[in-house]
Amino acid sequence: MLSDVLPVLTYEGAGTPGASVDARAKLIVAMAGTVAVVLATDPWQLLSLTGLVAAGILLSRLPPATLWRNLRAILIFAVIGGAVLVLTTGGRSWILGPFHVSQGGLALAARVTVQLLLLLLITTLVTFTTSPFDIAAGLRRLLGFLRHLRIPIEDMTTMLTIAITFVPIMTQEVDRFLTARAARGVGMRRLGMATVMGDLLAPLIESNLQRGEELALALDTRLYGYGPRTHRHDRVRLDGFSAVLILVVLVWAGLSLALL
Amino acid sequence: MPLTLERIGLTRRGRMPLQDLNLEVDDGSWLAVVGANGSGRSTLAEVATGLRKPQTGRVLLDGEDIWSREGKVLRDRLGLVMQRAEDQFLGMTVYDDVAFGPRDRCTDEAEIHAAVTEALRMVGFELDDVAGRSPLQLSGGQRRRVAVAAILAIRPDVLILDEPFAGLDAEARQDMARLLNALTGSGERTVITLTSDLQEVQGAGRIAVLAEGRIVLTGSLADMVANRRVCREAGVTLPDRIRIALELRERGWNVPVIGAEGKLEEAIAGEWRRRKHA
Amino acid sequence: MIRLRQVGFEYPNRTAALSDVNLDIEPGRLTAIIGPNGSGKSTLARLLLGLLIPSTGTVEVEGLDTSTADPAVLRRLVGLAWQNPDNQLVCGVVEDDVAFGPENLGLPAHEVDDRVDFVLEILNLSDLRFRSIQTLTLAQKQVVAVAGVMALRPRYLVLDEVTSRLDPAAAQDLLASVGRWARQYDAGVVMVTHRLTEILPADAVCRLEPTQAGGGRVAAFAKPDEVLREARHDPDSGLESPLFDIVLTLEDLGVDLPPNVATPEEVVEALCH
Repeated sequence: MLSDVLPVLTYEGAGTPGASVDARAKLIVAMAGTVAVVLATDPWQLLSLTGLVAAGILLSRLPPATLWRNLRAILIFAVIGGAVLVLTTGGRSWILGPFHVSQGGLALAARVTVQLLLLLLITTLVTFTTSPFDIAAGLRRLLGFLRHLRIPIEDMTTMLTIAITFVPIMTQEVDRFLTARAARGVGMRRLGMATVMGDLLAPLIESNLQRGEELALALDTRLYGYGPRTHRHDRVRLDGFSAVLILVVLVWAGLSLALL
Repeated sequence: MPLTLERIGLTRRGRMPLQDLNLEVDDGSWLAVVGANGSGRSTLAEVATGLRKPQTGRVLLDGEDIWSREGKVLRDRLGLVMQRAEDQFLGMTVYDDVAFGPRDRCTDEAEIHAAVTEALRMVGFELDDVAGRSPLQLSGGQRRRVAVAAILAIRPDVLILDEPFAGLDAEARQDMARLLNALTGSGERTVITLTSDLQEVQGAGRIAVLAEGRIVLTGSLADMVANRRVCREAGVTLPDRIRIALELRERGWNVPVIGAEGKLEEAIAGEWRRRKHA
Repeated sequence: MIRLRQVGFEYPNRTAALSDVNLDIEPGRLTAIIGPNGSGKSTLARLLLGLLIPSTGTVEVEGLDTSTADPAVLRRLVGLAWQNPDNQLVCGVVEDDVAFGPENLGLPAHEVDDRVDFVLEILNLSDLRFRSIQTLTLAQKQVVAVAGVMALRPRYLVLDEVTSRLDPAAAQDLLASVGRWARQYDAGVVMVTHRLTEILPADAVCRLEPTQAGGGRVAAFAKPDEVLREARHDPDSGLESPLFDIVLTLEDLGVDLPPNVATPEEVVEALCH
């Protein structure tokens, strides 16, 4: 039940054009886009960046359903946040009943909402076209240089990769828990905090701890940490297309910011 | 109560879809559904107990559609013991776990106590022996029996058990077989077991073979033997004793293929002695 | 050779798991370990590579005492895979997980590739090379877990109940592949199991039984036929076969059958001669 509804970290876009682009390129491009969106304040800048993101969505064939599903999640926050901004910002305002609807507030709310949505779209593009494992691997390669600064980037990404493997297993566990309750005629409606804490979390944590222990054993028996590791060739090389992609995005984002 | 699955269709991501599945289970009988891994067993279990609504087709309990507007009452009469149900305890003690279902349906502690006691007794436990213990302290076979009790406590008219024998040692398997016979002997409830092994169907009144999301064969064990090609294609192997008997018959030995416990061995021994002295 | 001499093991909470175990595991041979739950099989498996150090007695792997030897050396000599592959696989893709071990050894990249190729080939996993592990069935994951350990080329491979949740055909395939690999490298294989069909091809079978004091001891260490002769009369032997009932009943009725019949076909053949 849950595993049908909760496609957490699933990589739906396998087979789409975006999937064959190297993860590193996508991460760089996403980073560039994010920085640009955060720095953009002017409507024209935002419009240009929206165009960039829209191009990304079209080229990667992101399905509207996925788009909507991800947007839906933050929509409520965007609406509440926007309302707060509108009603609390000072300056020139219209009176609407008991509320002061500030003009400045409206503009601010509009801008922040657009920025938020753009950031979300950028993230969605990455998670749609890249499996979580590839994201972790991409991070490892991009941040590999930190090794020389004594930051254990290798271990951190291994931990991240292993953590990702927990997700589908936990989803299954929660699924089975809900089914077990349903099998005894207890509906979903009564899933209160107390139940979640007591009946679900405790066994879930216990099984995760046990899994963690066995995984640690597996890492040890396979000699992890006993010496320097080999780095094999990347399956997807940073090719010409990726280079062009990075270049195009950097230029477009840069130009957008220059617009004023 | 008789349960009928009519032209059931259900597709789930990553699982074998059920397609045009038809199944009738008589009132108070024991039906053993046998299907290889990946044939749609667990999905069938969930549909048959009203945990999952089929996309096409109907599930009828005593002739009424369990997904109709008044269907909730009917669905409450169905119970499912999941695969490895003992992994999903919903209480710190055996008592709490078995009482979980009844507590949702009624608030009278005395009634709940009675339901729990009765359910535990049905699976072979005396209340005082196990009530206060944590399920984790029990053996695998005992835990599974507690899981069955937890479902029996809500007094279902139809009880479905998904792989009740999986992972149990020989002794626990015997206990489970005895339990199933006891549950079905009285005729007061309908029982459906889902397994991947025909070895585990002794005692069932009828057998149904599930393959690729539909029922391809129903009948007695003798019917299974008569249609062993269908069984083989479905990935269901005949029990060893039957294979031995069939092979011996092919070599001219006069032994029964289906028969009471011990009869086969006696017949084999007789034939063997005869040939030895010939 | 892995030598166990008077090995006893007690868990920190004072539960005894093994007592006075004497055992020799030879390279190039298949040794099976059987016993009921609680007889210390898994503890024994872990003692073989020094994951656990005996409370009494010594475990020597190729002359190295596991209580003093360098763990890295021990892990390189003895590999272990166990039940529940979900708790042993650490990567997203099959190829990456199998390469994990060799990568940890710091081998040159092409050698890692070669090892991965070889192991995938011998276990018939080549088709699954680039598959996401989340999409595999339990049986497939179990084979990948074993592959990951085999890629380390240990001198001894310990398999702790890896076939328990596989159906008989899948179990057969896995063990046949492991056998081929072991013969190629003259590796010793130790298999903890409860299936009759799996101990019959073994060179030696060690049967553990729990004792009053709690720790398991070695009840028998001999060729499969001998161990089987006793074990099949003992419902607590930890050995299972759907045929035991039939065969034992026939024997009670006076029919002569060799003790090591494992399949219906073999029973029929034995009867007809």
